[in-house]
Amino acid sequence: MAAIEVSGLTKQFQVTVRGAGIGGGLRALFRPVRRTVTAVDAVSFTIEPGEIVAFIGPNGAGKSTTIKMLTGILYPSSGAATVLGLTPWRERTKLAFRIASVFGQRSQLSFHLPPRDSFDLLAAIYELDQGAYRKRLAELVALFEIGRLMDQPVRKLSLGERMRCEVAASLLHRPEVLFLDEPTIGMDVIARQAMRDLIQRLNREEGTTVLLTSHDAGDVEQICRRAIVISQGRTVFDDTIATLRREYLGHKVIDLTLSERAEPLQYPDVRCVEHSQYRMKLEVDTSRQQLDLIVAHLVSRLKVADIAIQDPPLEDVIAAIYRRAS
Amino acid sequence: MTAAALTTRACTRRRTLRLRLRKYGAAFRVSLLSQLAYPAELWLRSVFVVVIMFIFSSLWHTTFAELGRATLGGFTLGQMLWYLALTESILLSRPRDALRIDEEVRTGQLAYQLARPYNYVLYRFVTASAERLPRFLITLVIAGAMATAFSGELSVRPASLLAGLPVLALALAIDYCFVLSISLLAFWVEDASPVLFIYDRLLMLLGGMLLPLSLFPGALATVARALPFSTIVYDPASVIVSGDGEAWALLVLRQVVTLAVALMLALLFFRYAVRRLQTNGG
Repeated sequence: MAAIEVSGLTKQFQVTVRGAGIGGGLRALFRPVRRTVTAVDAVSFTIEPGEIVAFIGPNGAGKSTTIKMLTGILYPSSGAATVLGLTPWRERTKLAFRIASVFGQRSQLSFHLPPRDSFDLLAAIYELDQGAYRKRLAELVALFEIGRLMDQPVRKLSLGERMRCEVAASLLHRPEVLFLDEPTIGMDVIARQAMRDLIQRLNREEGTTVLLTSHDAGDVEQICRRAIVISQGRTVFDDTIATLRREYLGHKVIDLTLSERAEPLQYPDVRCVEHSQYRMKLEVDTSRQQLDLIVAHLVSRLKVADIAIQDPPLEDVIAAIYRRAS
Repeated sequence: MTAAALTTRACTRRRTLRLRLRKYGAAFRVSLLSQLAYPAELWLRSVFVVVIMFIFSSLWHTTFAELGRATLGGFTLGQMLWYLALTESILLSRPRDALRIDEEVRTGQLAYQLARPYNYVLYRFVTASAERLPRFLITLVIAGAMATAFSGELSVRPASLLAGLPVLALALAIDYCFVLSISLLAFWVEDASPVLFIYDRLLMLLGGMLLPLSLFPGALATVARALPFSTIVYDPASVIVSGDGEAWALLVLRQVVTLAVALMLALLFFRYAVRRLQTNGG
């Protein structure tokens, strides 16, 4: 059985259109004009147990709305979805015991109290008996290295420390599926890396299925093996990260180190993106040019000391996806 | 089914029920601890009641002296000041849940609250009650001390306090259900504060916050008594102060019915609100 199965999931909202100025405001008061907005448009995908999948797209693409339907908070307008075999919006409470969600910009910990108090509360909410709770708490404290943070008020923790506590808190009840919405937002480089390592370890050691939403290419690249790209409510890509990187932009990057100085290369459908005395970085449009011909051309014309052919950085891929969407 | 199997089943059921109820106890505890995290803020919040008590004590002193009467509307001066202390404590202690819920709807924080395995209405009731308890007690201590100092008498007898406690508990529960219903309007209008403002003023005017209903003129007193606002403000304060036990059972019955209606309203609102929820902020 798939961990998450989504088929033709659609969510439409009614929004009131309000004209500008006082006149617009008065008209909206007496004769409101409503418009239907499709936030999620017939999205379909399947995620197997233990998979770790990036769910990416620009702001307003419908990612969070989809996650909220999958956690049972929102009712869809049409379509079907099951999470661990349950229909989220019909069996929300039952499902809540088996899933968890972490929203990077929101907190589930009591701001003025130490994390330990919030952990105790969550253990009670998820109906864990004391023995099981103590054992699990010890595991998570060790895994997330939050022992020294447990008795400090949350307001005194750094963002990285707080997020480690947030994720640990959401795992108390051993969820089988974890929805992570921007878990590294606002973190510094070290805290971000630590969070990525933890998510990977969790997935590896406990087999937790993870659906990760992030605008950070590093998160996607380092944590996930597969990506689902959503844009304007529709799925526009669903495959491995390698395929996304290889195919979405349709270009390759050739990084050249030269033993003799050379002028920037002029060649059809090849763009010189970086140039210095002994280095050149070229972007080749692989849909229009054959890579082997370009390489042959370079080797015959230039004194090449080293050559590396790379897929474009994932950041560029995601930026291109977002540009296309807008 | 064997007796042993039946016993095991009963034990499991008891354990499940205990675990289910434990979450509300834990929520009460954490909410209370959050409130007590800043005791100075709790006391400072109650400073306002000092000003109110000072002004109204002076006014009632003058009124009683000018009229030359020992009682007004069935209350002595001391009782009147204690009545005021109680009504102020009821209203000033109310948590700002309405504003919080509409903020949660606006910011999307609600997603966290709804995705948990608990009864949202009961959970919020428990956390709001824990928030209200220390505020109520501290306000009452300050206002009661002032009432006693200004009137020179402690006008609350243990028997009337005992009779008043369940009435007070029911009053706070009714108030919470109405406030929750108003808060849930945020699902439709996104800002429930104007409605809450009207509700607050109705409680002040028709609930008998500043003036006991027994001092209201005939028709207005009848209308005010018929409305649910008096069950939240006037009834608990007057029972605790005057110890009028005659109609106590009837009063409690009326409160229970009001609570049932208010709770049904809140649950109905919640049911429809969640179905049409449009969380903001992605």
